[in-house]
Amino acid sequence: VAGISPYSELADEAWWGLLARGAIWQSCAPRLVELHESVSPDIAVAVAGLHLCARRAATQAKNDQEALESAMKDWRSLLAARIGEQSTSKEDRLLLQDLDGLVQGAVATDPFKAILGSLVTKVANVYGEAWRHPEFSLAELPSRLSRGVADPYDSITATTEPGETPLVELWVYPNGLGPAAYAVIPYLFVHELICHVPARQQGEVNNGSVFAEGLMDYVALQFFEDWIGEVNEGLAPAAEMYSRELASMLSSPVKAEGAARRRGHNAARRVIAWLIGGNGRGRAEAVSGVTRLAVELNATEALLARKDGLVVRLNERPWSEGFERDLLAVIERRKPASALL
Amino acid sequence: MKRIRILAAAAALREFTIAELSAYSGANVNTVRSIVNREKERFEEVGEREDQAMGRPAKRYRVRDVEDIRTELEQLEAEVDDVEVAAIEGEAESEEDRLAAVVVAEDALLRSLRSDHLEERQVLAETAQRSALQGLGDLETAAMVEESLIRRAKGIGGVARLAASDAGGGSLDEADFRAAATALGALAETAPGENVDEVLSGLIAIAVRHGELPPVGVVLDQDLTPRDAVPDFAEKEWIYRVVGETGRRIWLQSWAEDLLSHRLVAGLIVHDHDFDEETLGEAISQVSHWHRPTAVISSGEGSRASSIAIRGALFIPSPGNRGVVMGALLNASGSTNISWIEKRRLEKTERLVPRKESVVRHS
Repeated sequence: VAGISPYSELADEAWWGLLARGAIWQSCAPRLVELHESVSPDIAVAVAGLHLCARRAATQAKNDQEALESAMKDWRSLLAARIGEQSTSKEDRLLLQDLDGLVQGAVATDPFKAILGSLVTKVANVYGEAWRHPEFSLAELPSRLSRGVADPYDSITATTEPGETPLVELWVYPNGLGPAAYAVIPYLFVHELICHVPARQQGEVNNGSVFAEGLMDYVALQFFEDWIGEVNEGLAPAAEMYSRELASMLSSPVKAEGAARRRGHNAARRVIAWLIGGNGRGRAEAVSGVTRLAVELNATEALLARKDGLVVRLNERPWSEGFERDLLAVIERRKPASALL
Repeated sequence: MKRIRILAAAAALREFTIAELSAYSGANVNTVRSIVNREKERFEEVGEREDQAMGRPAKRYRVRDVEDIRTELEQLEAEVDDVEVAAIEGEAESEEDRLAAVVVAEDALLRSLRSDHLEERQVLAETAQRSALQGLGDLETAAMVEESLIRRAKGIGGVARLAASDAGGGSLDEADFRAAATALGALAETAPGENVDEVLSGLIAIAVRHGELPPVGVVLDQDLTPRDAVPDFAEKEWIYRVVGETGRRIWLQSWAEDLLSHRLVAGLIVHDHDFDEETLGEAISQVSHWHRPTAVISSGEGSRASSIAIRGALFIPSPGNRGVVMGALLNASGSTNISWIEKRRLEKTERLVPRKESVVRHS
């Protein structure tokens, strides 16, 4: 039913607030980098103002369309006021005018589900018969994440299995859904879809897994960068820039999650280097070989501990001759990935 | 560039549908189809497979000659100077990478100790050992790594060795536990406190599985020995430390000596008939750490609870008035393995008759 929150975790008002923010950021996607990077108070007011407009619109709306139109109208008034200020710089005025034009193209369709949907099609093709279609839920984070001093990415994702079907959950802190936080959502989704949705690891979930959060995340980043231009062209520059930053921020070696990510990425790069340096592969084929291997491993039913053990072995040097032989055989599809576990 | 990616992905996949090759190469379906059609001498059709996204059959292709594609890729990529890969091949691991390897090792060890699945326990313990070694790196470069990181890596490796043997069904003796206790001592100086506590709990569980006492101190009058209090364990090697000026002694199995040095003793068992407050306080301060409460198992009055709590320890009463209650398994959060306590209490309460016999000891 139009106008009713499509998510059980979100009341109508909360949904409309997120819809308005997401739809407006999506319409302004080509300028999100400038919006986030600007240190001008006029631009900061425009960004913060969107949250106010979205909140106000959400309290008064009766359906999705009304929520978006009301937020757009208020935000355009705010933009117009800043554009009209004599103190506003020429550069800022141009950006604000551009935003005013872009926002008129905003549509009241669920931007989060649209991003996920376009990526699901891609990932389904990667996993083939091993793919499992997930359900999706959106919910509010009650407070900021505070992962670091400069963390503008107030959203997280998770994959759970409440029943037979995997569920991808996106948690967003509404007032933290700024330009950079919106821009990283495709990467967060690719991570869940590539790393977790089709994972067969006997039910174990572990955020310190060098396989699930490390090696597979390296692969997710490769796919994300390959796909983002096609699935969301306008968002691509901001999405690439901030997703790299987020991935780097999440790779701090101090905590188990970050250390796992770092070591998993390292393992992937070592295999790529070995394929190029020791086996005469070109870089592109080597990267494809590692992504294919990782995907096959992820879809292989086995203890997560075994997959983690393999990634740690990949970080070992030197590898034994037998291990190199098996690794090459699996990459060349002469043996199944399970031969390495 | 798209052609390179498409050919490279085809060489890696060997067999593919157009949609699959599109997903792996990052090129759109039309570009992929166009290249596959244009270069059809490279590929052969090998039947159909359901397209997961579209839900309908799709043609499946196989690369005829991978080497042929590779030769061309080599030429196409010849101009690309891959700095990242060149760097990775020859480089020593950075200190951050080594720290990451050690943290991964620590997490694998904790997962191993938490697991009740034998295969998982063993695989994770072995993984912890490997990753800890990666944290240490080559001996030539180890000197450049911070001393605390080396101690932490060695600590994890030492406990992981014990955990792997335990999970692998090997027999463990006091020497193995002594080595693990020394390793845990090194870990206590370098790793986050909550991780140290959890490793201590795991070590206790392994000790109990192998018929050892947990690292619990038994406080006895100076004329008593462990043979009097815990005769089942009389043949074990014991050490003691004198409690202040009182002459009383804290006894524990000698393998746990390094744990005592690092105040990682999980609990005290108090022979309580005339135990004064001062002695109690002195004993607690010798084994207890401010952030790691030590449990005191005592047959004393309930009134002891507050004076024990004031000293940062936990009072666990032992019912009855028949003397020392044997044993306790505690972890740092103060929880106890009740079943073990109960079992030992039932076995021991009838046998606690003081005797004076020699035991192996050193201070």
